[in-house]
Amino acid sequence: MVFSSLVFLCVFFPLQMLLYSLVRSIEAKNTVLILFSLVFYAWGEPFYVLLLLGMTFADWLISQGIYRYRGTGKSKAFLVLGCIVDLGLLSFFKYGTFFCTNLQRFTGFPAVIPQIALPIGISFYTFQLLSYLVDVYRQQVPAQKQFRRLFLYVSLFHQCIAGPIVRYQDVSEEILSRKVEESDLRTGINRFASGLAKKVLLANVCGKLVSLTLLDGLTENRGVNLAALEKTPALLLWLGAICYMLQIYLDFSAYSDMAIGMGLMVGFHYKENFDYPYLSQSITDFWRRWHMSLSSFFRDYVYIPLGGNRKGTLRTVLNLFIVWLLTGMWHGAGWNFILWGLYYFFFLFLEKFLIPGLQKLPRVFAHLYTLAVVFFGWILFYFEDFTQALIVVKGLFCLNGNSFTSFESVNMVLNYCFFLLVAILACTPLARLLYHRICSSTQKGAVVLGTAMEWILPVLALVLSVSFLVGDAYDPFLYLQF
Amino acid sequence: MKHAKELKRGAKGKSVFFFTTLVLLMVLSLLIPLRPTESLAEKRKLAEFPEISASQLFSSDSDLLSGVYFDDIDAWFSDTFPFRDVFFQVNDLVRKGYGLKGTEIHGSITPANDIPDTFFTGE
Repeated sequence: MVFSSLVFLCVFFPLQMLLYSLVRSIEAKNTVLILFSLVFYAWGEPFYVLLLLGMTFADWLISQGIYRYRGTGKSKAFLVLGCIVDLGLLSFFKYGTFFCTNLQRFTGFPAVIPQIALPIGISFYTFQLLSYLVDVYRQQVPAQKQFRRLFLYVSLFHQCIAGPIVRYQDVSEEILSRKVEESDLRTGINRFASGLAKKVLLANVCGKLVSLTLLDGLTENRGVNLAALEKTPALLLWLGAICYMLQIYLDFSAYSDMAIGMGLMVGFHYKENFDYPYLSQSITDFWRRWHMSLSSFFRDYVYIPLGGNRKGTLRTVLNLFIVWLLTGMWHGAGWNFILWGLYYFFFLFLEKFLIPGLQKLPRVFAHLYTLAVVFFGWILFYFEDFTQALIVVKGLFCLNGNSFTSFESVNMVLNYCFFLLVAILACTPLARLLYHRICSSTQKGAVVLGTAMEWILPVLALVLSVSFLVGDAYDPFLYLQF
Repeated sequence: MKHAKELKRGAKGKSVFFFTTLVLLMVLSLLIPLRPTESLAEKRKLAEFPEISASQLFSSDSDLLSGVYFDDIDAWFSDTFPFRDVFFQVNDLVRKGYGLKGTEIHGSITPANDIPDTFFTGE
């Protein structure tokens, strides 16, 4: 199930909130959340819900061993076992087909490539489980004695399938006891409604413009796609690539907003996952603001344990290389994702070692440089086929013999000019600042306006989103495929 | 006087308003008799509730295990939503504000037949 489906919005979510508020004890509330999470996951993956259960159970058993023998070599052996189980399963499901395809390309073996389906959310919940095991090993948190409580943490539908990657130590106490303050409920509703509107009213429309202009980015119909892309006017390519850049942020941050909002409504406080990344002043800054739960995972569980920057320059470079190779691989089993990760390694290496001045450019230039790097990065990310990516990059500068504009392209930009402006502004804190400005005024008019906005905007966002979803069947979030 | 940031702005009332709307949407969506079965405007039959036979339930390649069955329910639920035409109108109202809609192109433009270089002589 996805947050932007009508079954979720009109049946699943209200029913969950209703039952959750009817039961009193924390155990009963947790049971409601577990049952709804099982239905949520099984709706999209009826079979692999068993994998989710099995992996959590295995890790729960292993964590008991890690905790029991804490401080000894046995504890480390249990941790290694846990990592082998989790990473082994993730590798099998996520990279099995990719590995066999490339092996066949070079050696001719195996004759038949197995087609392994990717269970939804496996990259997210595997990382959550890993963080739990490592934190227990580091004695930052005791092992959870009850399986059901650990399963609640892993399977909770707010974050199970597309993040944010929540750390067990951040929610372990709230699993046992939590209270929903009035301010939490208020903020939760705002975050949920604004996330929903961001996804349905903005990201989905951006997505449609992308598929109209950049084609589907898939390798099917390669010849036809290549010929069409070569002739596409530059203006359409710019429009498509900018829309993809907007879509991927709006879509993914919307999911995190909704997750954080729904968490607040039941007393869970998840950490922020985005901090207006398109306002960054350098690539280093960008990765401090984009998918923060993933970059902090790699920092705390890969980069620092490898020695971070404490073992000399060469080792730091190697550690950075490993982290960005893994970041690329995490996003998908494809060479384009790996290259995309290493593309960022290159720019981070440049900023850290070769041209440190890049991080101290005047604001306008720093911002332009960052946006340009990120923009071309998304083109690499979008196309699994490098030839298509190259054609698009050349086409942006009319190097394919394509024209800059056409009747169709100018018309499309005019047809969507106001929409694009709103989508770009939605990537900035402008609306939030305006809202806070109104809400921090004590003038009578401002108080009335602020209160009216508080009441009306979330409901308006909900009803408008439903109106967009009626008749529009299945519309998954982009990050579900990772 | 209270500082503006300390104002609760009727947080309780706001929650009641939001969740009541949500529950009303739930009730509306579950009023099965109100769900249309065909669209006059689109001239087509709308998606039907998917059926599944008992023998399909436990077969290894069943729609139930692959998730297709639930996708079909999603499609039915959204396609036959009560008062779908009213929602379309609301949707259309928003889409009208997307930009300057002097000329809109639906589908794709392809060149027509070339104009012949020489005059047709009839021979």
